[in-house]
Amino acid sequence: VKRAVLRLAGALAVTTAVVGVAHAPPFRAALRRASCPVGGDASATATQREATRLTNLAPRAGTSHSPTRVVWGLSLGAVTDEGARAALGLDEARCTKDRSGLVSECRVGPTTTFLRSNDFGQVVAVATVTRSQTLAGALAASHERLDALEGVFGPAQQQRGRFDEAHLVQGTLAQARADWAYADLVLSVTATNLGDGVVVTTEAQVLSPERLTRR
Amino acid sequence: MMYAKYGAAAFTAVNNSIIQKAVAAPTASVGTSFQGLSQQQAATLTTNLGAFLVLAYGGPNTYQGRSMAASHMGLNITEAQYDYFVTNVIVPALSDNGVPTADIMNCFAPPVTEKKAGSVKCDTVQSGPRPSGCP
Repeated sequence: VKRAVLRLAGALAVTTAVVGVAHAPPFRAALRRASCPVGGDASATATQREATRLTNLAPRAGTSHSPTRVVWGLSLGAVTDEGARAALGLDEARCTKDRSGLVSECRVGPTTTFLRSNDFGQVVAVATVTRSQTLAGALAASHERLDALEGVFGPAQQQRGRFDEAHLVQGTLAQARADWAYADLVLSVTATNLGDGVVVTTEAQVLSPERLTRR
Repeated sequence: MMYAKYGAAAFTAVNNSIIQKAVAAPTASVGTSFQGLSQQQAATLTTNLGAFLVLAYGGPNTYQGRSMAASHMGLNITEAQYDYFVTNVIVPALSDNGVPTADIMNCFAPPVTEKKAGSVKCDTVQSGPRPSGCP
């Protein structure tokens, strides 16, 4: 009996040690891959992620409704990732998906386009990042986008800095930014001096919470 | 030093603003990677990022996280994602919290835009073409 008790105690000690080590931070990822629940730090579900995103986007949203939710010919909140890529002429071979499968990143020349879907398969945000090696090129790109958005949404509701050479050459991270904020759509255009002669133009159009809660 | 000039409260405000903007942003790295975090992981990230910012800008060293390269390993962050993060998260977070443009350009810019061995950008961008200037 004494020997059996000792064996049992030994087995318990070894098991406890193995389980303890397996739950140490370096090995938790392996446990998750094996579908083992790891208390306290399990990844959020897609629905939780979307809820978190919308909560953090809410302060940027405005109060009036946008004149249209169709941007770049895409109906945000309705179009699928595949449909958006087809509409924008983004060859699938130039696109990669992130680990979540929610974001497509498509690189064509100096421009990278991000298509962000929610877990219902709807594209809810599009963004572009364009790297220009010349200030003139960056200003041309940003004015093209500004003109396009102003044609639809009117003058920017908020602007910081100026989209001109004198402002952007001030130094690294000198930035011009234009924002439109509606209850259902948030838009922005930026031009930023990143140093070494590189100026990056970004445009982002994001469906905001009200649109989704009405869905 | 920026930490001495602005103080702990300002750094906390900028740090919180960065986290909030990052979670709302539409790109892969600053969107889903941040959103995939549990509350515990998000709290750890907030603590580590705050401590890193304080350290990078001349404050006391309380950073206990991993190196930049190790902490971004496996996130497949591209240069476009990084540039979007800097231009749509970092710069607005500083501006929104009242940091003057001159300080953003002269003091806050170098740590996030430098491209050399061991710099934040070179260690963070680990997918796609290497940024020019990074080894």
